[in-house]
Amino acid sequence: MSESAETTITDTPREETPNPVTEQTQAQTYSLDENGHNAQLIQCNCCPSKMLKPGTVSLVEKEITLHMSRQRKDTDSSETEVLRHFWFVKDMFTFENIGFTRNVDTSYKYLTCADCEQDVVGIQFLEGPDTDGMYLAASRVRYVD
Amino acid sequence: MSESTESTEYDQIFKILMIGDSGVGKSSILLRFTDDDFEEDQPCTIGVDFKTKMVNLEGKRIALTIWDTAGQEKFRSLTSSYYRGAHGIIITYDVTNRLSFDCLAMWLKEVEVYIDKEPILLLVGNKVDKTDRKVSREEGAKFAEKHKMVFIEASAKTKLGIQQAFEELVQKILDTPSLWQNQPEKKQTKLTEDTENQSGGCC
Repeated sequence: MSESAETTITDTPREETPNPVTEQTQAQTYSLDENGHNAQLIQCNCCPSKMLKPGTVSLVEKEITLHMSRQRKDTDSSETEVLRHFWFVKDMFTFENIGFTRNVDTSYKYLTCADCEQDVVGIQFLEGPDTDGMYLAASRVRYVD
Repeated sequence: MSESTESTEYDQIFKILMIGDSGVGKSSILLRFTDDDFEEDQPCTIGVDFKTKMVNLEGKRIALTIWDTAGQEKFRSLTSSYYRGAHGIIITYDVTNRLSFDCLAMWLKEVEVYIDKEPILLLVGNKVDKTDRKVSREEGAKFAEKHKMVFIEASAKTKLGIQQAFEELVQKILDTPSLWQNQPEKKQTKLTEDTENQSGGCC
């Protein structure tokens, strides 16, 4: 059950990961306020939809594999990407706007933009040790001052 | 933990449902920034279960949960939990599909059976940009008036109109305190309860 195909947290062997970690070097660009929360407004990458107000969420380091933003149509297999930086959102009403997909394997829901649904932007686990909040991928959203 | 400073305060939670026949475009009417043509390029075809949106009206911060039955009309077992506690219902038909209009009475009947309080109803005649219209604007307006519904005609190109109608719906809920006063669960999400019957349906 916890070894579900798409989402494996931590201990993901590098060789089994088809796509390299592309996001890690950007860690320093996520600016934090004095409380360690997001200093900027967080918006959707694809549209002007607001997701989180400044000063509402903490950045956490965690290895989570998500579907790539864009999937090739000519293949059945899902392309994935290992991401390491996430905004941890404890209460779903902290979001200004967010969409939840239907359950995948009863074990998680993906987060998507409520206003364009163009991208998988995060995940909410429904079972296992990480069910206490939602993880918004820091590299899949936009930051606005 | 530092999460204690999260600004999760809100004054009210309103639950909004979207119903209507398959293929009338009810999912797309809430997508503000995309054209429906993009749909097949979407990276994930799991389908959206529900959305949350914050709306500021009359100095109040209102949390909306918006539920869409897209593609799940067959799963009638979830019907009663889906309707429970709804404050507003958006019923959509396709102006180029007569049957979807004729089925409105059936949808209203279902609403009557399952709702616990009388929700505010918004009727949306969708796809007015298409040329082969089968339901006139007058018919739609008349039906809406008869059943005390807010009425709007819309298409993928009239997102602004939908936005206004949506705000009107929320405003009307706010103007009807009997709908939301004495809510027993102001600060609870009830996520697990509402989704317990909705597994399946994935990429």
